Amino acid sequence: MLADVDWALIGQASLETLYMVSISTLFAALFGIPLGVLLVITEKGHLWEQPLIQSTLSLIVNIFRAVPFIVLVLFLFPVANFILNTSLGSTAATIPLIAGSAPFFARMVETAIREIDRGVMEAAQSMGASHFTIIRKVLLPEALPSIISGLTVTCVSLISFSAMAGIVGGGGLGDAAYRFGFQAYNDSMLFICGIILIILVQLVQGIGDWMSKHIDKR
Amino acid sequence: MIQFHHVSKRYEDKQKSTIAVDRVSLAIPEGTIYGIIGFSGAGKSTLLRMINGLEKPSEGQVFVADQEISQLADTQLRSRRQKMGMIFQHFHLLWSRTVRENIAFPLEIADVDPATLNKKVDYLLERVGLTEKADDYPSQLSGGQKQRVGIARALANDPSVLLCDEATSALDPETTRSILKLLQEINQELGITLVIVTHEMSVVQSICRQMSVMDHGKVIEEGTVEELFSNPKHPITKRLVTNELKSVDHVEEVLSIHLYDLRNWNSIQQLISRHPVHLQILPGNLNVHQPVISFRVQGKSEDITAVKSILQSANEEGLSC
Ligand SMILES: Nc1ncnc2c1ncn2[C@@H]1O[C@H](COP(=O)(O)OP(=O)(O)OP(=O)(O)O)[C@@H](O)[C@H]1O
Ligand SMILES: [Mg+2]
Repeated sequence: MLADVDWALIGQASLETLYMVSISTLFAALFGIPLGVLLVITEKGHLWEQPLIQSTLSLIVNIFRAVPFIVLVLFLFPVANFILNTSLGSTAATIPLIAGSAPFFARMVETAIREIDRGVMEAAQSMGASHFTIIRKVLLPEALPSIISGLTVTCVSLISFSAMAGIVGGGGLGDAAYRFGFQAYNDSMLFICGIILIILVQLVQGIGDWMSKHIDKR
Repeated sequence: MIQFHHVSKRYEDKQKSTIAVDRVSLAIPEGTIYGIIGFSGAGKSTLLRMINGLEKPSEGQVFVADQEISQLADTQLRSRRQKMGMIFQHFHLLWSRTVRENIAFPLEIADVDPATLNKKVDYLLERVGLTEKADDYPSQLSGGQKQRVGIARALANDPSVLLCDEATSALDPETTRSILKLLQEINQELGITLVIVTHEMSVVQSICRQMSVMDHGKVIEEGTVEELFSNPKHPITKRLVTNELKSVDHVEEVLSIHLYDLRNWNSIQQLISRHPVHLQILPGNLNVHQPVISFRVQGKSEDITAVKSILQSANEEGLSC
């Protein structure tokens, strides 16, 4: 039965998935962390009270979270394809993936930072720390274990989202499973793609849990 | 010298406004240990936090060494704060940093070069007796050790003022004593002005020289600790002082003795004097049909029990003869 599996195709699809997931996880972190920090510090009574910025950011984040991912993909994929002008579907697919995951991750960062005892921040203020120092040396390091757990969850959901994005032209394991497995009545192909996705998720979760636990000194 | 000139602090809410500090004027001399005491919600923390500008007064002025804290621009205020240490009831250490790194934090903020920083941290670790724990994380420390880290951290930039907000309230009596001792040594060795906010009279009594009592945002009484303890004027101060007499393991009981037994008073008194209790004769209980004298006895419960049995056996003896 495994004779029906095109291993070269699987290899190619795995690489595409890895590419989409790692690029979009990276950018989700790059956008999500500052966004999460801003969401916290602009609120009332915090470091940089800015009600207008706070409510605008919050609204944007909520809109992105409310739109179903598949709609984001259908809407953003052609746009991304056009803007990036790339022949690589995987690259274009990262745009909706980032748009879909960064706001989620930003909320997780927000929660992680909000869990920090306000007194710790106040202690830093009493030492004469600037806002920037407080963010860099208090808020982020103290929230790091929770931020890493959040990034793990984000990365795992990006694996499944990437399978969806793949189908509309991004390539990867989801696409391979759909086209060469489901549509071609090749069950083993479908099966192998699924197995690889599961292994990937397990791996990411395992590494994330280990890292989060390792740095958690609470 | 820390001075408050007619300082008020109001917290405005949508519905109501709370007055946390109400027209306070105070002068805290340099190099002293000053206590601010009062019941919960009296405004002690708010007053303390105005010294390093964590709160801005709604009215009035706060001066530290002739510099008006409430008028400083942000950058000036930040560098001024480096010269004022603060310690907290719940320590507020960074759990992601080791003891050493926690103590180094204020030095990093002050941009101290690495060599000086390391030397300074070593000295501070030694001073608070935590050299062995340098590479532990705060979660591995006891409460007293955490507060020692807090103190070392607060001293890192050689402050002239150390603000203590309920610094011993989360600690047991033994640890409290050792922390208070450390604070006292710091005051003596380094000449740092200590401002101590607490609701425990014993803290003020054991290390403060001057004190003020706060209630509902106002300073209702101030003076030297001896004055306020020996002659409290305001009812709140009285309450705080008497609370202290009854504190921790001290209890109070009213006992009485039949007049007949007073024939043996000398021997009874001798027996009682072996126990460290405070006796006070209550007037006005004498009547012909029930000729007893009542005492208020204060002391540890075991001593009171002993005194009680002394009086009881005296009563029985009195009946038998
Ligand atoms: N940020 C704030 N917003 C609104 N009200 C406040 C704020 N901080 C303090 N208050 C109010 O001001 C009053 C004084 O508070 P403060 O914390 O100074 O009291 P305290 O004497 O330190 O009490 P405790 O012993 O409980 O710490 C209280 O009524 C409190 O509710
Ligand atoms: Mg308080």
